[in-house]
Amino acid sequence: MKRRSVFLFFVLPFLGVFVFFTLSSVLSQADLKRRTETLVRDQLAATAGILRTTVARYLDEGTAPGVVLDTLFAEEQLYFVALLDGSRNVLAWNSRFEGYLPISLTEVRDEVTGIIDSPAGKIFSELKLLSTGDGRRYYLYLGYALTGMEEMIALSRRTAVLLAALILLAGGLFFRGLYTLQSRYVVKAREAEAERQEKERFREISAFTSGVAHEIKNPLNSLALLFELLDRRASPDMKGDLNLGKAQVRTIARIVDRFSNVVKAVQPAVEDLALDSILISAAGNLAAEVPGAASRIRLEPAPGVRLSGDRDLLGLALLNILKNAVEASPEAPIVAGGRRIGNKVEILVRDGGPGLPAEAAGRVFEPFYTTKEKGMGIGLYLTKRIIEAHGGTIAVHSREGQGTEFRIELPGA
Amino acid sequence: MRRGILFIALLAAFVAGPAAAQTAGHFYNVDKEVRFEGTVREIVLEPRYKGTAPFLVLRVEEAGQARTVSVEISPSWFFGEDVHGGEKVKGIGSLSEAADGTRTIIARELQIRGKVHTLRDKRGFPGWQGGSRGRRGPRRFGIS
Repeated sequence: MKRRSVFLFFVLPFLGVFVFFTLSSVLSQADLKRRTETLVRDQLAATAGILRTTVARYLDEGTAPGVVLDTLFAEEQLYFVALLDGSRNVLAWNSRFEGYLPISLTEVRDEVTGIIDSPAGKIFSELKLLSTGDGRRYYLYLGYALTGMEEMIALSRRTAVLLAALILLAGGLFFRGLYTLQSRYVVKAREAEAERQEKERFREISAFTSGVAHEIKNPLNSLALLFELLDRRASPDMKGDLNLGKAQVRTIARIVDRFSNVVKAVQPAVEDLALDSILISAAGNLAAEVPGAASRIRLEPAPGVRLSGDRDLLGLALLNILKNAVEASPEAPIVAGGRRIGNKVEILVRDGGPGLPAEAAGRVFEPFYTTKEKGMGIGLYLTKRIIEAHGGTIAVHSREGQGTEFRIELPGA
Repeated sequence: MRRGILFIALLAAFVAGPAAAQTAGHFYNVDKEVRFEGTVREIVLEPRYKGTAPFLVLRVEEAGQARTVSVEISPSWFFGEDVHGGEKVKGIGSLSEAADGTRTIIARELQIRGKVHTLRDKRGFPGWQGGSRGRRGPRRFGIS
């Protein structure tokens, strides 16, 4: 699935739902606040009415104003209270905050209610007239804490925010997971496509190579027989030319054989092998093939390291790598060795040559890719096939001017 | 220096004893806000509200007048500034006058050595109560 599709079919609807939730939450918050404020104001107004009646009764009984207010102040939600006479002079007052009685007697009319925003929270305030039984007029000024309402609104807001955060988090996690899965799927799909193309290419190359080898081998055999017949009848002065011709025919046959080997399926006959013996054997074969190579190869002993594999195939694979190293660094020594890592065996071959450009390093295992003038691009490709047929891996690390290192990993014995 | 001032203040509080009789008008009355300016003549700690720590009170000789006014600052722990006798102070507060003529200003802002200290908000809410929405016990003016 493309990223755009993921966005259109998953992320966009989710964002829509989230925005809808947020908007509805904000609107319901505002509505809740308005309704709660109305409800609380009504309730507090009713409570204030009861208090006024109580105060009037106390005053009728001749209780001192200070004592009356002390009685009222048992109510915890009451932040301040004051009793004023008919001329609005303060007779007595109480406050939970030192000296705090937020009333402007010059501004108030006979009866006032309101909400004061104080550092201690919102306060419902009311100044109302009360009359005693004998007709005396007083004003009762009250300040009720609206903390309960504020706490309820804050709790509701917190819950909405928490829910939104949870939805966002869950959505984020879900889409992260989806994105990861989709990315993995894309990578796997690309790898599968690359593998398919590689197999297709190999099939085409195999068919072409087999056909060419078959078509060349028949006339080549005839040519070899012809050279043999000519050799028997030729005069001694022609023997040299004929031997040269025979050698060229053999070279062509060898090349054709190599091409044929490439397209054959690699089927290792696995046995328990000592790593040292394979390395020594490969180095010996290289010395026989490339004069002077033996003196440049330094084998690092790996006693006791054993692996599972086909002696001949692995020998051929290592020979190819050593040969490649010797050709890549005509002067510098080649170091080859190995070690056991867990249940695997690691083989390293390092040369001190000029190294490979990044592009070449990424393509050295491709069939028929070569950077040498006389190479055919078969050796390392065949090596990779042999290693992979053993269930192993091969990788090349190279930097220009710093040599090249081949790292092979094979199952240990 | 600071320790010395504190000692003087504590001694003054001890000597001062209970506050004189107060009137019901001794609250932060926004209608009676005044500006004051003068010289500190005495520093005392006095119990002002029931159940609270003693308040720092300055006896200030008003500039250009021969009378003294008591300026109620805050609980002593809240006001973290050195005050010395003879220093000039000015500020804003709510004035109340007892029946015996005693004048008290509940300070909202106090400027001393050029630095302004905000003690209460414009409605007289005490700064030392912070933004706490916790419930408080009654703070009635006077001594219990």
